[in-house]
Amino acid sequence: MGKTVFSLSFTATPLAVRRGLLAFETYLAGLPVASERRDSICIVLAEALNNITEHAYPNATGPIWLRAQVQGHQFIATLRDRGAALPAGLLPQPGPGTGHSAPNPTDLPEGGFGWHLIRSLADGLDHARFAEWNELRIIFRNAVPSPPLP
Amino acid sequence: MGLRAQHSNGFCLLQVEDSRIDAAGAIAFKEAVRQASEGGQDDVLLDLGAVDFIDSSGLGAVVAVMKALGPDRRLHLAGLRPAVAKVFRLTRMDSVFTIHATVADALKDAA
Repeated sequence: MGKTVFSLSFTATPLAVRRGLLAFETYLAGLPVASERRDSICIVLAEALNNITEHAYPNATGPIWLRAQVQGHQFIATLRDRGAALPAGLLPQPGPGTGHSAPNPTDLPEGGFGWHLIRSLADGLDHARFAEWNELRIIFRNAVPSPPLP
Repeated sequence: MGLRAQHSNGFCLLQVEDSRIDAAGAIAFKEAVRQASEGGQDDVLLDLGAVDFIDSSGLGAVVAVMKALGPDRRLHLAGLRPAVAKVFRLTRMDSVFTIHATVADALKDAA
């Protein structure tokens, strides 16, 4: 049985994000989470981390902290950065018909899918701004049918 | 970005050898496909069987590749693994590509 808490900090660059995600995937593979759900969690984290790299640190880079843990049957990931504040109203709640909509496939979009994927696959999103920090908490309900003992 | 190219049954068959098409590799992926497919007339069949993971940047790169082929050459996709298929399905971009279960299926359909 793998550890129940994951914690890693890295720089907000695409390559460092990839390496961070690979380390996270190794951790997640050690948890009793169904592979279909693991895919969803990895997609959401990839999009949230890409958003930080592209939008929180648009002209420079900076640190990202990723922490994840099992809490009962829930899986919770927390991302922190010291970049630009997430614009008010950008954080959509999960579920259809909220926040900005997905791009129309017939327009052959090359971007704009990120928040749509996050909203489609996460069960809860909670953003807070503390002084110079963004904190995004992402909740996946019932991801861990038989939680490991702490 | 590793890409193996060959011609088969009227396709320019491009096999992606990397396990991820992500923000760190999207530009290299577009460039590799452009180089491997330019000058030809055949439809392009992109074998994604080795790709475990794609993010929205990677998806955007696949769309860009399709547009770059122009109106006379189609982009076919084959071998989508579960996490990759999920991204195409959730964004409904599976509706704009011709997707085959496997490369063998795509070649059989074309034969």
